[in-house]
Amino acid sequence: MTLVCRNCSRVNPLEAHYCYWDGAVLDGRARESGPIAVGAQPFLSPFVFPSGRQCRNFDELVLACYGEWKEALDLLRQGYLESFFGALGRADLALTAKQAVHSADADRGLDHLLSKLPCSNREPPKLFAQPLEVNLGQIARLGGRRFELHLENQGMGLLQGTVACDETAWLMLGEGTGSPRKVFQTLNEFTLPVQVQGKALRAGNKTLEGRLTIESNGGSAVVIVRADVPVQPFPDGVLAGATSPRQIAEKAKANPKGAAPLFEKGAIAAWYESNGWTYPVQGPASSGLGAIQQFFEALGLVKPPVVEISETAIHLHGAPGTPVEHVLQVQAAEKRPVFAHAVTATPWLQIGRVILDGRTARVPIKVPAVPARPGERLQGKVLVTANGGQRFAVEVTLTIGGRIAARVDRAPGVVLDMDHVLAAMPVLTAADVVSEVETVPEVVALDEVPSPRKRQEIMEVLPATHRRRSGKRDGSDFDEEARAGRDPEKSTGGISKHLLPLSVLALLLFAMVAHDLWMIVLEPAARGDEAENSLLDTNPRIVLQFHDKGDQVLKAPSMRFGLLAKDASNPDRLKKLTFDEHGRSNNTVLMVDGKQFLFGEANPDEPSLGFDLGDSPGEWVEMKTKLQGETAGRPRDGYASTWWLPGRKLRIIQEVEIVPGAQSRLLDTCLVRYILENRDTLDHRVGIRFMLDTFIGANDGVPFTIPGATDLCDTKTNFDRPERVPDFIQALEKDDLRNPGTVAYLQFRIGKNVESPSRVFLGGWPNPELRKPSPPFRRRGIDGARAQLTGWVVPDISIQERMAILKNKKREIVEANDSAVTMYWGEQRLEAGKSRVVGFTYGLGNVDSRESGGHLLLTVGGRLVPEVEFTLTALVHNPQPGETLTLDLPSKLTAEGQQLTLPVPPVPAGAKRPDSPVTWRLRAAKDGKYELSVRSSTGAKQKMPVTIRVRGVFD
Amino acid sequence: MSFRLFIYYCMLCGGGGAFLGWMLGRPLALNNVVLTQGFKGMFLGFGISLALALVDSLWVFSLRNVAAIFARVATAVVVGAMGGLLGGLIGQVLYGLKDWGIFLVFGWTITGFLIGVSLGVFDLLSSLVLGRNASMALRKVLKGLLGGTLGGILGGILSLMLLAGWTHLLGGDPEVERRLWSPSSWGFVSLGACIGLLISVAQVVLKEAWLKVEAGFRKGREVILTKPEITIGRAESCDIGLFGDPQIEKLHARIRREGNRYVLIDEGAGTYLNDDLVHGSATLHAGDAIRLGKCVLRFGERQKQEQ
Repeated sequence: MTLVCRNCSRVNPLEAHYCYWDGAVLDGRARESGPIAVGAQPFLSPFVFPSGRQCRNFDELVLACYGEWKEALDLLRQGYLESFFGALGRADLALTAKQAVHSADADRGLDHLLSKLPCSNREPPKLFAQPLEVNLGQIARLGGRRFELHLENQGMGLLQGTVACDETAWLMLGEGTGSPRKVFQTLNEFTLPVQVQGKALRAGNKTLEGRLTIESNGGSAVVIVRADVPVQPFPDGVLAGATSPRQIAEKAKANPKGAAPLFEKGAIAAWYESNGWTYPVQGPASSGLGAIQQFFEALGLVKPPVVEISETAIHLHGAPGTPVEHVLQVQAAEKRPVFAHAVTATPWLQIGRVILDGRTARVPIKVPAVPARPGERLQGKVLVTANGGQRFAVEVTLTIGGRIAARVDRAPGVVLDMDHVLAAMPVLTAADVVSEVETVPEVVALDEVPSPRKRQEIMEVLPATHRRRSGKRDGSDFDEEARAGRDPEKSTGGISKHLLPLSVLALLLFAMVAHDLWMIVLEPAARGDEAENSLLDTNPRIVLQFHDKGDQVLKAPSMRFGLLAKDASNPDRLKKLTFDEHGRSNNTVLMVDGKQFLFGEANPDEPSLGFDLGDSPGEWVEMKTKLQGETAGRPRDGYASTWWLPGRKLRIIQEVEIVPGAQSRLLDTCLVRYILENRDTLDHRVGIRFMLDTFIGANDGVPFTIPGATDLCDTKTNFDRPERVPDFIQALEKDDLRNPGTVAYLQFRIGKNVESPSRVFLGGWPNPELRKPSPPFRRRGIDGARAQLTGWVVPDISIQERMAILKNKKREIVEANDSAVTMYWGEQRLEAGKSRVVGFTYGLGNVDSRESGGHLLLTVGGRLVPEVEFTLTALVHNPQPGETLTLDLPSKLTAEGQQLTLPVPPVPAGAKRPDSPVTWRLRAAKDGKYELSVRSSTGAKQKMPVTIRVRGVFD
Repeated sequence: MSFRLFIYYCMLCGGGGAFLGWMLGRPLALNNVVLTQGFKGMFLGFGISLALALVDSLWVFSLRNVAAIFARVATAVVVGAMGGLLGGLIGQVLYGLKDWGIFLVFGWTITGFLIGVSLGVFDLLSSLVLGRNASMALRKVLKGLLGGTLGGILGGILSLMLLAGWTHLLGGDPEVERRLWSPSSWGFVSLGACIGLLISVAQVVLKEAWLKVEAGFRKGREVILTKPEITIGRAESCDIGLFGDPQIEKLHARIRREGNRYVLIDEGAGTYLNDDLVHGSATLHAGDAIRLGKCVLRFGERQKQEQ
């Protein structure tokens, strides 16, 4: 027995289940063992979703993916699906999964992957649209309305497609301005808003019917939308109540004289417009009864006269820049009025006002300025429409000759197309002329031509670059025509747009220059720094005395110097600021390559010296030479002395001069500088030390005020590192702050070109008596104390160091009470040919305490220039327990990380004076005059003016 | 944006970014000069790389791709600021040892080098992380490196000359010189402009393949193909977004580099190559016009050496 296939009627063996020829299931075999359902075959291990949902086969996996779409997308992106299929041995599916990951649209990618899975339960997408009919009822024209279109996928997979209403102008899809076509894609359902465009509605007695066409991969559907838009009856005159053009025609025929003005004034055209209809008459209305005839002809109620145009081709000639004119004539053989209007898209052509004259209509054609393209022949076209819509296309040829003429001034209000301005001489375009409606109404913009057919005709003769569309009825948000032919980078606006940021940057850079010029040239002048820097008094307040002759103490002139202050009340009376009037108790020691040299000491056999000067201790090059140049508008008041160390070829110049104080503007300060010049061919290590034997009035051991310290120094203090060296120290002659007497002021940081000391020791003067052992302690003598001949190392002794003296032939132990300030500029490598400048100032301080009644005494010190820290010290007399001081800072001054209110430290027990200092470190952002004010919690207040200069006084 | 505009804007924004860096670093006055210069360099690198990364990203991406732009700009800013910091520190340390201007130029060269690298770092890292072909990203990094280094050298020399010139013109007093704005600001701006100019010139001159939008969205735009595969469509995720044209699909076509040639692959949406409908894929040649909807792209390719 054989089995015959029902499909192909061919014979198959008995054991066959499927036809060998066409694969069809043979009769009676399907139930026994049909094809294997691959989709139902279990996986080796289930695929588990993050939610816990298990998929044991492809069927379940497909269902799960569609059920948990978002999670499935994540799993696809993260590669789980790819690796799962790979593990199953399905490299094809793994590859598809990989491609799906890189798909631009993730939804589509996953859907595509799922469509490839061998499952049996996946149904294709199926479109279901609701509603399929929409009746909007009666809608007033210009009245908006909207409804929603619900799209649903009744199958599986991604439903994709488009909704379009291209053929229904009064419907628009989506929100906002809407679009006539929308693309959609959904897994389940999708709601699309549909808008009714009131402006596009046309009134009528019949129901309007629109269509929304839905095309998708799940099928197609058409939604019918209906609306009734009632006609607005004509409102005025003899035509009142007419609801259709035919009724208008009938009423006009019945009463032509009454109707003619309505046609002439455009009332009929406005009525057409209000109903959304296209007025059949193109161009301007004729006058009188002619206007009615024009209307009748346009409606086709009256047979229009046959008209002819004078020319169908015009040849014009002109030189560049000159105007050219021509008149076309439209005539009728019959004795009936002729109407005509014309449009052109040719940029260099312009249509004038049409003159209607009975059987003739004259159409002026004008080239306002022949383009500057000598020798060329340009082609244009004019479209003339006459009675009953009879049209004539007139070819215009413009031959350009001659030389380029002067540019023709354009009429005001006419806007030129910039593309053509750049390309050639100025010419007018159709779109441009529209802006001049008053004078040339015949030329219309494309979207103002109501008839689609005519619009198409104009489009044919209009170059793409000159089509103007204001609306979006072309069915696209993307206004291609508007963009076409306009390269933003080449247009004038484009270039200026790109130049704008460059201009901004250039402006900023020039602002920098302006700032600098202001700072350099104008600002100092504005400040009137001439007056600012002038002296308050040209009489020096201090006197310099040099040791320029040998004597008992120092046999040879040493050019040491002493300083004396003139008494404010009695200028003839001098007060010492150094112990010795000629400064013999001061001394200066040099340290060169580890060897000491005494500045100005040439005698190597000096017995009191504690160190060996060697064979070449030094010699004078010049002594007490007057300093050259000017300071503060007057000749420099000081002297230079030059010492030479021949063994080291080192030149040491000592400059001592009287200069104005930084704040006082009085000649009350002595500027001391040492210039160390290495004239050798070798480098040397060079240091210098200056010991100043201070003395104020009659007191050799007055305590010093040190900025930053909590009490006055009356013993000793060692500032062993450069950063610990204060800006200044000062000492008061008297205990009474209301009348402090002479104030000695020693400033260590004076200018950026003068090196400050790297170490300062404030202590006792090295009295040779201290070398003797002193009972009762039998303390060992201080060997280094050799008075004016003391070496580099000044002994570490206190101002109040105790020593034994003979008094009335009795040996007594007394306090030395002798202060000295020793400044070190440590050894540094000084290269051959290089120099080093060190210095300090010593003089009278500028203090004030009158406002506070002697309770607060303010002093400022340091380099008083912008952006450099300086010190303000308030000395508080008899401070009260818990007393605080508050500093009122002007703007542009800052206290560097410091509180403005500080406690006043108590005076230590046994202190020589009941004064306690409080210090602030300040910084000025800008130069100028400032007033510092310090208030005490006890009520006392003291102010002090401070001048910050662009350049330091000693710079 | 055309290539010329790209170069112009890179130069301009490099200068502008440097000015921003100068303004940020101007108030800095630490006790340590080396640190101060390091931080000033860091601000300089920050400003220049921020500006250049923005231009580079906006050249390719739409403003809608905020996330992509942000990631690129942030990566570039970090690398650029590091470059500025390193350049400032190294330059100042060497200058402190011996006050030769060449050391400062060396520091700025390091800054330019890393700013150049910064523009391609994101692409390179993302290619490496995602296991994609990183050769084109690496080329972009190398081009930036070359341009940045040359820009650093040229800008450094120009900057030194400006510094000396302005100081000579306006200075004289060290205290006043310290407060001048022109020498340092003009120097910074010239440095930034040179770095921006040469990085962009290197990108453009050494480009291998590019597309020019001749019609459609952002007409006139020219894009260098710096990825092994670029996507074209109206989806925001596309490398070349052609928005506003309903005839263009979300993913409309791809251009893939296959060996030594570029292949146009249609995604079934209707792509025309020189007015012929592309079925599947087609090899691109220099001058080919690709039409998608209303948009027209012109493919350009540098002449290959074997040709």
